[in-house]
Amino acid sequence: MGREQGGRVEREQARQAWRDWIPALVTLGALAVVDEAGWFGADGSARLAWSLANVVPGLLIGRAFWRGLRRADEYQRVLQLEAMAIGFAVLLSGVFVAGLLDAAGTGDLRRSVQIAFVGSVAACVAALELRGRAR
Amino acid sequence: MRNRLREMRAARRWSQSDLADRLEVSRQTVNAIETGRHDPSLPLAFRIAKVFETSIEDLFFPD
Repeated sequence: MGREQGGRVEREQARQAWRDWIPALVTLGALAVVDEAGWFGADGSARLAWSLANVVPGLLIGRAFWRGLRRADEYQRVLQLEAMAIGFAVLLSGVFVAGLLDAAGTGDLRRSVQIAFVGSVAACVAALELRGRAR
Repeated sequence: MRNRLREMRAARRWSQSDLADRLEVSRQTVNAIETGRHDPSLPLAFRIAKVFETSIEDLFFPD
């Protein structure tokens, strides 16, 4: 038997997942670029506002995870929760290291935390893909 | 837990996607159950048994 195409349920889930994830990732990417480039006062007068703006992609990502869990069937839910646990472990380790680096007076805390956050989301998505593709 | 899902599906000439659509789950889930990577919950096991018009005992059995 050849590789089968996903069923109706999976196609609909994939469509909805794209709809949830695209705004979250676009906002996250755009804010990272603005922060790094220092545009619109991101490295000066409006630094606090731009830093707080990162709450928006954080909430959108949380919403995408939540809606993904609600849509998932029982096996997919197990995979998603495992992937989220991996992402959480990466975030915890990343923030811990970022804090220690900051305490040692090395590196930029905002950048380190942002890397830890993006890394945790990437680890979660990668774990989900790898486990989901295991046959 | 072992099961006869693949055998019974093949007897009906259904693809994994066909069965997944009938059960309203993903093909990934059907594949995971067939390969023994996932044991279905009781409600899903009842749905599977209903789709195949048989009993749970006829589909699933211990190792």
